[in-house]
Amino acid sequence: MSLSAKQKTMRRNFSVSCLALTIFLGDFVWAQVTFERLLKARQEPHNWLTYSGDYAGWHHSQLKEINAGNVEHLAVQWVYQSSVQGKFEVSPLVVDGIMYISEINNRAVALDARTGRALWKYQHELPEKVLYCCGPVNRGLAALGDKVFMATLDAHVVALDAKTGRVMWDVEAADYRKGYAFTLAPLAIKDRVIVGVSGGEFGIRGFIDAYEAETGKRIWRFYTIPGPGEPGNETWSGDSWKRGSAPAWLTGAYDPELNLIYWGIGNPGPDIYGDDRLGDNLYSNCVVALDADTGHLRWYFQFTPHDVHDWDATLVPVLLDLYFGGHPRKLLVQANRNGQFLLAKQFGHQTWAQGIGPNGRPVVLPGSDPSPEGTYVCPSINGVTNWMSPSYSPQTGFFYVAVRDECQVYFTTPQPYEEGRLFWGGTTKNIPDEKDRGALLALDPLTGEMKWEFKYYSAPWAGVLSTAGALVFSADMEGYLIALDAKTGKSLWNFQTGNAVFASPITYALSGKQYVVIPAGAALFAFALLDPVLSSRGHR
Amino acid sequence: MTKVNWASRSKTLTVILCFILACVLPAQLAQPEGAGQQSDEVKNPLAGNPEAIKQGKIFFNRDCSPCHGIEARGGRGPDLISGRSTYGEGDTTLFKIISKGLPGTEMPGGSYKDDEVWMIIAFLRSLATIENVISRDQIVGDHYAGEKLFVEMCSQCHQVNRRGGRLGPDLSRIGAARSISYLAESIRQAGNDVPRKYQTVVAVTKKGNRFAGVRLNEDTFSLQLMDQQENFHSWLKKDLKEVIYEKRSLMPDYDEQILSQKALQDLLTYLASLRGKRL
Ligand code: HEC
Ligand code: HEC
Repeated sequence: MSLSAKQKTMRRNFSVSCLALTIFLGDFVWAQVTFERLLKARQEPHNWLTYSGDYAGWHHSQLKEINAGNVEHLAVQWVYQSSVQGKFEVSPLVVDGIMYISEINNRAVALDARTGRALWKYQHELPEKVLYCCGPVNRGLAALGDKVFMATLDAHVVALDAKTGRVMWDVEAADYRKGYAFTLAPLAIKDRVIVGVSGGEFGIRGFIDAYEAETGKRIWRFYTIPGPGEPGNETWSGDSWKRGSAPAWLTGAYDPELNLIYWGIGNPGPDIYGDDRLGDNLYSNCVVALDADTGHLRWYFQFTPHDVHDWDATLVPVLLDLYFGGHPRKLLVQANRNGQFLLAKQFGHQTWAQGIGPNGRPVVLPGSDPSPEGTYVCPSINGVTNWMSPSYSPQTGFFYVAVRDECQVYFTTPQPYEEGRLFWGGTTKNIPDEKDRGALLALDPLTGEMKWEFKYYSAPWAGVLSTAGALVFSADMEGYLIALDAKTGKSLWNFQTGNAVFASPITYALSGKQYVVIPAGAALFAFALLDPVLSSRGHR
Repeated sequence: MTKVNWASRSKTLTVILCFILACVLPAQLAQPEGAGQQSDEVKNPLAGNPEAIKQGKIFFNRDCSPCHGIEARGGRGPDLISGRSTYGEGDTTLFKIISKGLPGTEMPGGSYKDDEVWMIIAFLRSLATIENVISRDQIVGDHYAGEKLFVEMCSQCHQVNRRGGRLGPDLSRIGAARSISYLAESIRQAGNDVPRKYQTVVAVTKKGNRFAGVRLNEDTFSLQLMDQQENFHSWLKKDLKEVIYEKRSLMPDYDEQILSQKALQDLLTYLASLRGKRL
């Protein structure tokens, strides 16, 4: 499909004039999602084209119609009810007026972004018994060309026609009966779709795959655990590398200048018991930089060598071009589950390490390993933060992250590997009645210094969106969608959705009206300013 | 770092219960509804096996002792030392309860393999000789005197079979759900173990007025309470000066001045008989 000159002009002019858009009121001005567009995703803020809103993992939008002065007038515009209750973890995509979401159990749906009405639905047929540790969740789709892509719980990658939901191709990446699965939103770059596998609790051998967007043919695979003879294999005692897990279950980032993709790698298996897999267990709990063309490893950094607390480093890597030490530098920031932020600053409640040593390794405190009688450690198995998206705002220069303050008792139970059976090697328990807490933090990404803190009643599972309207949006476990002042953390607005939020809000615009979207419970809520507020400010 | 001992709350009160009267039990205690119907009784293949008992103890300490107490002496869950269950005495019953849980109660199901369940049962059976713990089936005071006391002193705050007040927990099946020593401690020193659901909260308004109540709900922005008169209150936190979390229970402590040892014994006998409906 090609673009008319008029449509092209319209898109280019969006940030200058919202009026141009109103000409198309009521129409979908749908166009191919080219790689060019994805590269410049930030320049069309009315869309949300990738999992993180851009390739750098910022989860930020240039839209500013909704701002500190009017956010109190946000009101629900529509609600979409999905088919299943559970953890509705999707980050929707919005492409030219159409929203693409995935629901629990791998249903993909295209919605009219103005009304929330479904345009098509695709239900991926799942085998009777799929294996997952943490619910039949899916975090979203990727768009490229005329297709959208979904990675499924039975370890398939599926390409759908973005117009109809028809299957264009469907490939099996691995055997779901052994615990391989996908829960992440794929990352589309160039002519290909990148996915990382889930199954860290089943003794899989993790990998990241690239598939041709056009055909589904596999271009490369990067095993997150080196095989015999490859460097790093010696960091696994015996043949533990075969079932060492190290999944890659969250969407990575991409740097087009270096042509590198950055991906977070998960915990080694069995999660809690480490004596059968002595060594650093590379590349578990690392961020890896891979050549996007070949999948070859360029470098890695390991946050938690020989992890025994299930502190995956899968979380979204955030790429920043900033001055560091007086020079412009390419930086990668990750809010890591182990509670030691990349820049050696400690967050709040962690009891297992004394910061990061000169060699980049955490200085582990004695007695923090799980034990048969139980060892009390902070953070809990859920980590100081988890898969929920952090956000970087170029406007404030702050890095925003939702953090969990929770501790647990870690018990080891050595366990032989059995195909398809959960392979924890232990368990964790909360102390009865010990209340978890949480907060949304604004940090200086260069120093880790805390700029402000907004306290939650409970430890959150919702990510953060920052906008050029000087706002941050997030949500809590008691169901509030909240808007805070991005500079000060002051609470400006909230809305009770009626159910816990396990997702990161996103934003888009249609006909000059900005929307904020969040899933809660089984429903997807879309908010915008009340129409009278919009018109009184001369928007219409 | 701390090695955790899952010891539940102190059992200081066991002593006061030590005049056990080992006589006949009230009929409904000995033979609760739904009990004793195991036609297809299965025997524990690991019974008495020392290795199995050892492993069973590890599982028990990890997964069960937070509720049932160390050595199964009871806590927020009943003691499990008599070998007798509200639901029947045989291994088959225990096997079902441990693998499936008891739906509709606080007893969760596990995800054990069969032989692991047998290990836990082997461990539980090995405990039957523990002394100094009064099992629910051994407490024998005057049931009817206990019921009368309850109606006079307690039912303003507690429901039993849909009658009574609503500030405190419904006690209709408290005899199945708790050990005797836990119940005794609840009465003598209510504040020792207040579950989060019944957290005592004091809301202080901007004007300085204080409202104490049981917390019904709390979140980042708001707080809802029930006060001692069963009134609902709701505030936005921004309209409050302070929210104070108190360790105490809204239930008074009934010491020996108010409730003699004999009266406590009667009350406990009554409470132990409250085992709800057949599940
Ligand atoms: C969250 C607290 C909790 C945990 C953990 C727990 N239980 Fe229970 N259990 C209870 C409660 C409460 C009851 C009483 C249920 C009722 O009848 O109301 C119960 C009842 C039982 C009973 C029946 C007792 C009777 O007298 O009929 C058995 C047997 C039992 N639990 C065994 C176990 C074992 C073994 C474990 C660990 C594998 C375990 N429980 C873990 C709370 C717990
Ligand atoms: C003023 C109200 C009030 C009165 C009167 C009162 N209680 Fe309570 N009771 C509570 C509250 C509130 C709780 C929950 C907090 C706690 O565990 O202390 C409670 C808890 C309990 C528990 C623990 C329940 C559980 O689930 O573990 C027992 C048992 C109990 N009460 C028995 C009694 C008895 C017996 C009496 C009379 C002698 C009595 N209560 C009188 C308010 C009251």
